[in-house]
Amino acid sequence: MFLVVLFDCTPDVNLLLQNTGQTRSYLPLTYAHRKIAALSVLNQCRRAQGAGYQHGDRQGCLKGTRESVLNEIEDWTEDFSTSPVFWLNGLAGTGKSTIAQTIAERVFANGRLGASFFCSRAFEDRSDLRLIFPTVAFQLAQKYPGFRSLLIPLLQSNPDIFRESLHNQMQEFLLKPLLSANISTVIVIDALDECKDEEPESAVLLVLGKSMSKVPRVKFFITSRPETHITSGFRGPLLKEWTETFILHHVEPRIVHSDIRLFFKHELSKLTRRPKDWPTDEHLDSLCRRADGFFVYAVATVNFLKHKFKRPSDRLDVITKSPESTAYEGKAELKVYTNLDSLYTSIFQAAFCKNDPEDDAIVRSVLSAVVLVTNPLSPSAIATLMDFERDVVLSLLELVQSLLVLHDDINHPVRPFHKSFLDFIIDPTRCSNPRFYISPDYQIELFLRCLELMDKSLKKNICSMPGYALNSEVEDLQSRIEESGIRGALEYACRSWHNHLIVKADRTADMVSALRHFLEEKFLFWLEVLSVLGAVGDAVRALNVTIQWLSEVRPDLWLVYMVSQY
Amino acid sequence: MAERGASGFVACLHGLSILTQSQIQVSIDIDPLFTTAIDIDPLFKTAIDFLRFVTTFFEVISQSGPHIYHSALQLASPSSAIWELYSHQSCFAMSKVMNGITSLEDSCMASAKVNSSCGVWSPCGRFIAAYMYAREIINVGVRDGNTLEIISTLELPAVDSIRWHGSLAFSLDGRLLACCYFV
Repeated sequence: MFLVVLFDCTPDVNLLLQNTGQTRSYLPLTYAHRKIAALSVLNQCRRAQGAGYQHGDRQGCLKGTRESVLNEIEDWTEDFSTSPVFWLNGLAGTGKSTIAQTIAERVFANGRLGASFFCSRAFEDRSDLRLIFPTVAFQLAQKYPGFRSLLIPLLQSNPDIFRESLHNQMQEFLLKPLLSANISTVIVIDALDECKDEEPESAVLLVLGKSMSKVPRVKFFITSRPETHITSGFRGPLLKEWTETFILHHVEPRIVHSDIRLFFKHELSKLTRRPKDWPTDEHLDSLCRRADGFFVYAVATVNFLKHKFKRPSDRLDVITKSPESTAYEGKAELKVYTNLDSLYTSIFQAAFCKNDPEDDAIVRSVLSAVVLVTNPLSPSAIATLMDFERDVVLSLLELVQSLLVLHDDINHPVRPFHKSFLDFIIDPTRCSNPRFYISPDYQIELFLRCLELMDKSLKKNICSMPGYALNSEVEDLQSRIEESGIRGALEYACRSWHNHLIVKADRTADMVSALRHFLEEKFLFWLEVLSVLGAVGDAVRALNVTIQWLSEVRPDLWLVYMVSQY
Repeated sequence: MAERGASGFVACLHGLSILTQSQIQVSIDIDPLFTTAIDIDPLFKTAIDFLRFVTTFFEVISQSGPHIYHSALQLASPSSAIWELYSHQSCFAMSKVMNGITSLEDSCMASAKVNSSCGVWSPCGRFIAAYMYAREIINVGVRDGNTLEIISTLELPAVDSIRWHGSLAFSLDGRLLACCYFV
């Protein structure tokens, strides 16, 4: 028998707390206590923030557009005798996420939506494969009490399940509770291609395929681009027989053009300062031809025409005067996006007409902090991180706001309006104008800026914590964090510098030097910040990435690293 | 690359006072890869050592910023890179262990064999807890660390056959004291 005796060490209390398993229980839990404790377990469930369909500023399909595809998917969600998996496969900008949003809204309205996860490369947690199942499980537990009562004991008995393999996560988070709770539900996963996954066959799909025969009455609606590892996942032997596929870019062009025309007509009619009888049919025809089946083109165009001061008709001229390319440019994939790329280039040229190398370098630096960051930064944080004036950053971003999600509040995060813009600006074969192309060098600039900012800002006891205090004991911890200036640029620098480590021979010496200075001078102060932010896991990730990076720079160190792992 | 690598190597040589300026100039053409090797090796070892430090003291670091210095750093191995680089940040005044533990265990824990005793300081340094086994009775007491006045004592239920040792451990916040013994 092993006895544990606990004392309260407060000087004025002399108390025997507990004699485990032997005599008495000192703190009898009431029902309310137990319930709160159970919910607390659920709330501690690690998950992606804002991944559900109801978060963010996504819009559904315009009424009257996409009717046939929406009806087909909605029929599938209602019929549990059909395939349990529906894959909406479409090229970038064909409107997959808008369709997924509409489906999630409709299924929710019918009471059948269990969970939704909208992956996004713009957010670190929403591009993390390991957070999909926990987030879905959390939402299912919120909706279904039966599922919740089964999930909580599983979490209590295995609190480290978040760190386990996707297979184990699937078993523990979804399969076991779903099997026992006997729930019929629909789960929406949008843009699976935006998750970081280097496996030759999508890891999530592989796990899903292995589990499909055991999952009762649950339907998975998944959208993605037709990337190789995802296509292999859906067409592999495990999932093929369970999957119904809809290829969005194979929809008859006439139907898509008609939808895009309706969209243009509706959106342009809402613009103020437009001339009478504008846009004309000729304008609409020209725009639809240029959009060539890509809704993202239509959205970017409308954003561009919505200008505070300039007349939409003048802005439209900028677009219609750009070349409408139909020429084959060597690669089929390139040709697909030619008009979209031309639109993006036109928007840039209209915004930055003056060709000044110094200004262009600032433009690229600021844009790199929008498109390359792993969590969106506000204009104010970009200014701090990149060491520019706030006004410069804000006015620059406003010039290309049709390509961004930019709010009036300078402290609100800014991000690309669509992933296709990110794809464009970091690809020299698509962004052929070197004035705007964001090369991999900007990853290194971001890395160095992060280290520079940490070097400038980190200090011992940055939050003025009382001696020996636990973070949880400091009641005003959040306001201390705010007052210490950690939020924003410094938080990003502390949590994400390692995401910008790339191998580039001619910059290695600079990077090594900055890294050495950081580790030798600021390491413990950095840990302090991660501690108060509740993000010490980031330190483990960052150091692992650093070790791997160093061994890539010096391949012979790899052996040392592998030995150190064991 | 050649320029950057060479300048890094020159910087290394500057530390050697016996080298003359001309010797430094001569060394500029040395293979840049070699200079990178000089730069990276210690950094690599430092990164591995720091990773070990974070994973070993993950719970402490996660729970308390101040305890990075009070507990984690203080318990780091004296031969580690973290100790070498940051020992000046440690809080030397807070020696908490009185008796009975190895350097790798938590400093707020102690254990004693049969017919023996042990004591520990609380993490805040204000209290001393002591465990004493004698004549089939176990006494556990908490004293004020400065005045040594007894704050609380407990005589544990008589146990017939203690076959193994007991131990004491304070919780990280210093509010609870656990006394464990095997009977």
